Formats: sequence, structure tokens, C-alpha cells
Amino acid sequence: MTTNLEPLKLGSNLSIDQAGPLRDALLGRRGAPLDIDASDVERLSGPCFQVLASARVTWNADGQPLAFTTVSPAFENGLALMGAADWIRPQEDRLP
Amino acid sequence: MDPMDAIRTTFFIECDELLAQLEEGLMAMEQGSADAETINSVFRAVHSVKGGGGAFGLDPLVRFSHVFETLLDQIRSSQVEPTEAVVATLLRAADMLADHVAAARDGGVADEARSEQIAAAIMSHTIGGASAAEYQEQPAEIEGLDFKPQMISLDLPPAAPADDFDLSALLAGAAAAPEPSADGDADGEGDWIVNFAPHASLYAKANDSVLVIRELSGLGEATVTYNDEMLPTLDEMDPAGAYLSWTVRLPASVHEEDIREAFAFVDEDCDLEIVRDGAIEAAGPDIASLLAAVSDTPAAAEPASSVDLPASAPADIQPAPTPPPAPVAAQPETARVVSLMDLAPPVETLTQAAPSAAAPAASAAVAAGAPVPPPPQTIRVDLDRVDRLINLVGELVINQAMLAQRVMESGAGKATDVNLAITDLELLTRNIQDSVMAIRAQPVKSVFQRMPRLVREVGEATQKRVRLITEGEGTEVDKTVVEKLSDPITHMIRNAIDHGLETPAEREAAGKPAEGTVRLTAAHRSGRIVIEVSDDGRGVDRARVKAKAVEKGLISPEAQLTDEEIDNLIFAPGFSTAATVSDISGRGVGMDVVKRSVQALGGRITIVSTPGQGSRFSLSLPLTLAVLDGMVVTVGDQTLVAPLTTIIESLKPRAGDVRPLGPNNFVLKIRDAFVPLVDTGAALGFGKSKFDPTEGVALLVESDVAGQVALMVDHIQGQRQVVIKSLETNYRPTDGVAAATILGDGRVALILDIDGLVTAHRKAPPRAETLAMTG
Amino acid sequence: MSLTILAVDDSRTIREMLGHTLRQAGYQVITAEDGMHGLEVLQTERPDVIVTDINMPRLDGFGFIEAVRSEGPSKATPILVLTTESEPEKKARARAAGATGWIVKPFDPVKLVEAIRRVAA
Repeated sequence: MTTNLEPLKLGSNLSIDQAGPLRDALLGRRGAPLDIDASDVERLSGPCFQVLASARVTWNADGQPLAFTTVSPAFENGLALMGAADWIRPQEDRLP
Repeated sequence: MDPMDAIRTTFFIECDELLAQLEEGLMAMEQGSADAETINSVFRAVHSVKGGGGAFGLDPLVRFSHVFETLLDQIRSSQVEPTEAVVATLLRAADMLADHVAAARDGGVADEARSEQIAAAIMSHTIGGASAAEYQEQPAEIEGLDFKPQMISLDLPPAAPADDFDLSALLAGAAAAPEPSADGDADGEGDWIVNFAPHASLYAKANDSVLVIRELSGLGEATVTYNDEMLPTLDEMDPAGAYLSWTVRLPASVHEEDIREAFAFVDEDCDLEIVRDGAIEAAGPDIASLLAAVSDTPAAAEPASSVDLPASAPADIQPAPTPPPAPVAAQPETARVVSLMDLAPPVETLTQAAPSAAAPAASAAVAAGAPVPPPPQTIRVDLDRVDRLINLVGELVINQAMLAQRVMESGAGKATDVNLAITDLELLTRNIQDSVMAIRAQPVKSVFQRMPRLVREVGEATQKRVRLITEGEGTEVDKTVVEKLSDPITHMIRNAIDHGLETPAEREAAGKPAEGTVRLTAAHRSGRIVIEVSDDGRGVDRARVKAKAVEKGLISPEAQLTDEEIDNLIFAPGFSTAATVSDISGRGVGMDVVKRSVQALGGRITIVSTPGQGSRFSLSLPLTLAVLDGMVVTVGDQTLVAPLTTIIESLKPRAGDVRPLGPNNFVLKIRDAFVPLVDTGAALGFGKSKFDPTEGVALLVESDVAGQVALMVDHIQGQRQVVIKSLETNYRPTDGVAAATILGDGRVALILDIDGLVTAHRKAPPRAETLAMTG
Repeated sequence: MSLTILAVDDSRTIREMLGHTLRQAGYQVITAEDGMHGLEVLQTERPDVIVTDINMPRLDGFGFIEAVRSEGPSKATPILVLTTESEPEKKARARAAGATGWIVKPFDPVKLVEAIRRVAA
């Protein structure tokens, strides 16, 4: 566990028009370690992927850890399509 | 039914509506009211016929409507002026389109020669003429489209010299075909490298980079990397922006067209490069530099995305100064609250489980406020069901009448609860009946709409210029009546143009406008529908009509006839005024046939004519053929019903008013006139009425065959609305009887056909009982 | 869970045809008779993909697409334009209004379903 805070739980449908709300939700957690729960995600759109990528960049720049705790198959598949399968691999390595 | 058959049926029903809409719009244009919406609706009508026709592969129909539509589109965009000549062509085209539709429906073929001729006429008004240019444009457009499955040849060549078009189509095909293989000449056998950088506009159109890459991944084993060089930190990014780009490596065996296909919807909303790995020498100089950049990109991008975050901060983050976390976080916080209210779903996910898809939709619906009232809704109902309902309501009416009678017979007083309830029931029954009849009510529009074409055709055939004015096409009447209107109206209009109107030369000589006017109107008048067809032609040529009637033996040469009587001779059986039986009116049907068919419907037809100014035919019909307001009378032991609309008055003859006329007939003196007296029972050939006129009641009725006539009956029971039951379907046609009904007491009563009765009376041989009476 | 498609077309024939084809393909189908009606339907329905005609009374396809894109919960819903128009400028206008893709009539059922699959998440 990287933080004591509740993980940020992502909605099931991360459609194109959810990029704004997702960005706002993430910004609200800035400045602290962040765990993201993507276990409910059924769809990951390009713009939402883009927001998540920016969040990783941002947390990294802030020197804070950001990790995906649990992911749904759809989310994992979405990351793989976008060339980001490695986002969740390091975490798997860390779990055991 | 096969679903496609059902849709096909729908298509032809819809075609009828669209053709009507087309006709209506073109008529409006003809009269100069060519506003934008009219022209649009005309365009849409043809467009929709074409669209549906295309779906069913009705090639001749689609070909013709395409040519038609092209001209309409140019009129719509003000490139072509809808002059009188253009509109005249459009009207002919509309008729031709109707023929194509009819041919397609009946599985036949429309007159192709005529179709081609009209298509040529249309194209003569169309900018770009035979639209050959249009066909040359097509292949180019398809290339640009790069969306092969949609290359279904939709724009079929118009009806025009077929060889030319085949040739150009072949050439176009030849030009288009080599292209993919030319690309293949690049000969690079390396993997495909696809560089894809979406623009913000791609997402704004609800396209999605994920879906595009999903398509690519479906083509073969894909290696995807993303490039976040341009990606800012969260606080600086626009969620609707496009910052990421992707490089997708695909196996060499994948076809380039299939790759391009994946970008069909987005190629204008992204930067796209599709190259073969290591195929640099095949490309021109500027492509080579692009390729150089491309081959660099994966190398640069790969570390950025695959190298794990915590270890090395990517270079591109450094230029973006990271603001102190706390204040930044605070500011968006307030902003977030607002946006959370606006866009509920994602934020809820922070605190609750994933919302169901329905929740946001529902809240959105509430938020949207008062909905706009939906357009009036209609349902399609099988006519059989409506008819069954009407029959049942008919039974209900009868049953209610029977009940009322039983109650009356039981001696219950008028003010008793039972009787009050019966009165309510009667009112309710009447309302139900009216409502049910309203279901079947239809505007006469469907019939009126067919007339402009008729007018054009008859006008053309007779070389007369005719303008048709219609009024009251929204007048509603029972469906069965609407269907029966077509023939008489058609005939009256043919007659008006053929016999009524003069040639343009004659009209001008008479000081009239060269163009004649035929007016077709419909209106409700005292519970009936009245259709009038009037013209501003020469009027009935009475001298000629009379001569003809004498020649045909319809009247004696000495007969003194009023103008009105002469005019009405044209309805006499076997009469035809045209000196030579013309093509138009003389199809073996005279006005007498029209008159008889109208009478069979319980209708009347009359003519009023003014020499030199024109004629007016009036056709009056009951609004429904299902119920009738009747006078219930007794003759002998029979109960009969006389249609109320035919009855002028009823009276008790005094002895002195009945005078014998010849050995078998009597007349009745009413005020200063004598009218024939008809013994109803004798004319129908039943019962033996004593025929003492002073003991019975005379119904003065208006007959078409003999003017006013007095029908002798024994006594009058009262007025009642009765449900008509056809004798023809249930028994057989019978002279003097129009139909039957069932009365409240359950007895069958015959409904009188006044004209039939009067005719029967005239034909009736001297009968024993009348002789007995006189003897 | 099957996807819901809103089909907007003023031609009853085409609506029935779309409905039949899409239901066969396992989609749920709702229909509207023109752009205005389509917007009304969108007040209560949330389709996954919208298929619309261009030439329609009251509110044509361009206006309908613009209105959908301007605001509301269906702002980001994929919209396929269904039209017999093959003129490039019509397609450009539809794109400018915010159309996601297009299908040229007369449509082949396979191609129609393919286009929907392509834009549907």
C-alpha cells in the first residue's frame, strides 16, 4: 500500500465525455500518494486514457507514487491497446 | 409475413404518400408559391423514393429518380430557376415517377421510352446537362473516400445513351483499379509502421483513438506504443484536447487498404502516416525525411512509455513547472464541485459503486425540463379489425334499440330509473358509434390528388389548356365512400374538359382566357358530402342535346322541356353528346352510368349549366354507408325504411286530391302541382294494399328519375337511425330495395331505394289489385 | 448487454429496414422521424450509437448533429450519417457538424453493422 487514503474508484464507463470529470477527480487528489481502483471499468476511451497518462506524469513530477491497485479485464485490455500494458505490470511485480 | 415483404409493403404505401406530397408541392410551385420549404419537401419526396427504391434494388426507379432529384437539388440551391417550363417538366416527371413506382410494385416495367424521353427533358434543364461530368467526378470521390465497402454504385447512370456511360464507367473503373497495385510497387516487404496523431476534432466527433487502434489490432499482431511528448500535467491539460500520438507496428502481410480502412472516419481529424519499415528509398525526398522522423519516433517514444516512471523522470516533464500541490489542488476543488453537479456520473464513482447506465440518463431527462410535445401519433390498424368493430357497434345499436323497446313494452314509466339509464345508454351508444365511424373517416384528398394528373393528360390529349383548382380536400368522409368517389369524379372531370371547355382559340374568340378552369370542391352539407366539378366552358349545348335525345328516341320531338330538363338529359341512359365518341370521354361509359353508380351509393348527381359560362356538376353522397337516418313506415304487414334525406314531407291525402291518370295510375295534388302517386306495396310486388290513398300516408320524396313522387304507405312509425346491412352481400340485389336493417324488435326491415322504386313502379304492369280498385 | 441504436430517418421504409437489420444483428433499436423528434427522444433515451439521415423535414441531419453535439448527455455519442448523398460537400458538412462516420445508402446490412461496430465502444 502506498497510501492510507481510500483508493480513487474509477467509473465503469470512461467514455470520451468523462475525460473532464476524471481530470477534476484526479486533481482533487493531487499532492498525495494515489491508489486507483479500476476494477469496475468496462470502457476506457482515448481521452480518459490521456488524462490517466497525464496523471502519471503529474504525480511523477510531484514525486508522489501513483498505482493501479485492482483492474478489470476491460481496463487492462484498454491499456494494452493504447500501448500501456506496462502501467500495471510493475505493480503486479510488487504485490507478492 | 417475411419481414422484408412487410417492409416492401411499407415502402409502397410510403411511396403513395411521397408521390402525393410531390404532386402537392409541384402544384404549389406551378401556382408560383415556390417557397423554400415547398421545394425542400418536393426534393425530399423524390429523394426518399430513390432511397427506398435503392434498398430494394429497383434500378429503373432509382435511375429515374436520381435524374429527377438532381434537377430538384439545383432548384433547391437556386442554381436553376423554377420557370413555368421547368415546373411543367417536373410535373411530367412526377407522373413518370408514379409509373415507375406502380411498375415496381406490380412487378412490371414502366414505359422505358417515355421514361428516357422525360429524363432527357429533365436533363435539358439541369446544369451540367446529361450529367456526364457527375459520373466522372464519382471515381475521384470514391478515391477520396477510401471507404471501399461503401462504393456500392448508388448513382446509377441516368437514362441516356447507354453506351457512353458504360464506357465512362469502364474508364473510371480502369483508372481507379491500378491504384492499390501502384502502391504495392513500393515493394518494401518490411512491417507496416503506422503513425497516428489524433486532433482534438477527432474526439469532438465522438471518434476514439482506442477504437481506431482496436481496428488495427484486429488486422494482425500489433505492437502499440504511445508518445506523450506533448502531454502536459493534469492542471494544464484540456480534457478535450489531443496530446498523445501512437505508433502501431503491423505485420508486413497486412494490406494497406485495410489499414487505411481503419482510418476511414478519422483521416481528416488526425495526422497519419502509413509506411513500410525500411522502405525509404522507394519514397520521394520529402517522404524520406518524414520517414526519418518516423523511424526516430518509435525509438524516442518507446523509452518514454515503457520505462517505468519512478526511476527516471521523462525529459518532457521538466519544462512544465510543477506548481505547489496544495493551492492548485484547492482551486480545482471548487471548480470540481460545480462540474460535479453538471456531470454527475464520474464523481459519484468516488464515493459509490459504479452508477448504472440508466441513472445518468434519468437525471438528464429530469434536468432537461419540460419536454417538447411529441408529434401527433398514429397507429396502423388492419382494416378488418376496424370493420369488425363497426359491425359490433352496429349490433350494439340494434341491441340498445331492442332493449329500449322491451323496457317500453314492460310498461316502465318514462321517468323511471330504468328509462333514464336507457336514455344514457342511447347517448353513449350514439357517441361510440360516432367515434368508431370517425376512425374510418378519411379526407377526400387521396382521391383529389389523382386529379391533377388526369387533368394534364386529358388536357394534352384534347389540346386544351386547363387549370385545376381544388378546394376542401380535407373534407372527411367514410373510407368506403372515399373509395367510391374516384370513378364519378374522374368521369365528371373528363367530361368537363372534353365537353365543357372550348379550345384555346375558341375561348379567345369568346373573350375568355385561353386557359380554362376546372374547379373541384368538396364540402359537408347537411349531413352529406357534396362534391362539385365546375368548368368555365361553353355550357351545355341545349339544342344539340335535345336533338340528340330526339334522335336516340329518349324524348319525342314535340316534347316541351325546361332548360333544366334538357340539361339533365345527359344523364339519360344511352346518351352521349360527343358527335364522335372521343378517346377521352367515350370509353363506353356515359354520364348515365355515373349517375347510376352514384345512386347505388345513396347519392344524387345534378347539373346546372349556363350557356357560354360553364356547367357545374354536383354530387351529393351520404357521409357513411354504414348507418342511415330513416323514416320507418308500415306497408301491409311489412316494416320499411325510407332514407330521410329523400323525404320532403309527409301528408295525409284528402279524397279530392287524388286523381286517376290513365287506367292504372294516380296523381296527387299537392298545393298547385300534381305528382305521381306510387303504391309502395304494389311497386315492390308484395302484400295487397287496399290502395285507398285517403287511408294511408303519402311520403313526398325527391326522386332523380321522376322528380317529386308521392309514395303511399299505410302509416309512419317514426324516425330512427338504422344500421345498414347490405342485401347484395347477404341476399341479392333487388329492385326498389337498397339494403336491409334490423329493428329494435329484432325484425328485418327493408330500406327503400326511392329511384329504384319509382322505376319499378313505372315498369309495373297493370296489377289485379289496382284494377280491382278502379273496377 | 446489447447496444441501443437510435435511427433517425423521415422515411418509414428506411426506419423499418434499419430496425429490422439492426435487431437481426442483436441491437436494440429506437427510431425517430426527423431531427426534432430525434432530439426529443434523446431527452429520455441514451443510445450508444445514433444513425441519422440528412434530408429530413423540421430539422435536418446537419442541424440534428449540431444540436446533439452542442450539449446534453449524448454530446459524445457516435453519430453515423446515413444518406444517399455521395457529394463530397455533403459529407464535409456532416463532418463539420460533428458526424462520427457515414454510411452510403442503399446500405448493405453487413456494412451497416460493421460501421456501427467500428464506432461503438
